[in-house]
Amino acid sequence: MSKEVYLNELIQYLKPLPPAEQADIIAEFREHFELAEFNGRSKEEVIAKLGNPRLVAREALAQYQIRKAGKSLSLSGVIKAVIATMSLGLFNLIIVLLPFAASLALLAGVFGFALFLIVSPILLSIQHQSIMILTNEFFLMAGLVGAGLLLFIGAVKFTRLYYDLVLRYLRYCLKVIKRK
Amino acid sequence: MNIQFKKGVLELCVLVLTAKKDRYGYELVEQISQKFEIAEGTIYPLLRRLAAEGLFSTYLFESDEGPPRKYYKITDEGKKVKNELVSEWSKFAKGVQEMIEEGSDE
Repeated sequence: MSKEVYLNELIQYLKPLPPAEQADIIAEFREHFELAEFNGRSKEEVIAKLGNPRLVAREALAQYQIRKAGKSLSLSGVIKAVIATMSLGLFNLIIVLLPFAASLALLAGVFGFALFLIVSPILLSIQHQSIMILTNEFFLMAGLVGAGLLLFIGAVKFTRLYYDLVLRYLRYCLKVIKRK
Repeated sequence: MNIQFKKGVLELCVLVLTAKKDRYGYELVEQISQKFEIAEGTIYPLLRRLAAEGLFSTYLFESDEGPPRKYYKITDEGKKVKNELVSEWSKFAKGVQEMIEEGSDE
């Protein structure tokens, strides 16, 4: 593999990054090659020691996705960051995917339950095939809807915190998890 | 040496090296790979992350000898993190050392 082939491969893997970020990383690797050559190291040795371009790129991508998700805190951003971190290896797949899937399912469950409470008067009137129950049991209905709304608002607030926690966990994973 | 173990220590290494003086990426790679084996390419994403976290500032310097270099300069925040990591490490290393010595007595 030549220097240009290595850099081209790296560029391919870095495609999801914004152009400026890509250019920055490539410039740094070019500098590495130039300085290594200047110090009399052979290209083969330099390339062997740099490590697989795919791994280098994955590392940069995962860090970028986590950083980006931290700025906007959206579900799609968090999911992208989780996927990028998982792609670093099988081990990461387990320690990242399982907690994320389980906690996301739990959160979705809370949202589902809140919505269920909010629409429960409608469901009850369908079940009883009359809307009389709404007036007869007005306070119960109001209580159910109120509890649903409170839970929903709480869940929305918690979601932001949850995204933040996931990103913290990913950052922690990036620091300690296996690379090869 | 164990890869996972090394990866955690790498951050400490680059912070300690830059605390002494400003360094360029290649120099850091050289200094570290003299001591232990690393996938050299992964130092650069690490440096980028630390710079993004505000532990480093960077500048380009045209050298009289050889190509221009991107230098990493440690920030005050970086020094703070470095000190924390160094004291954590010292405690950890001391603990391990004591266990080794106790173990060899038996």
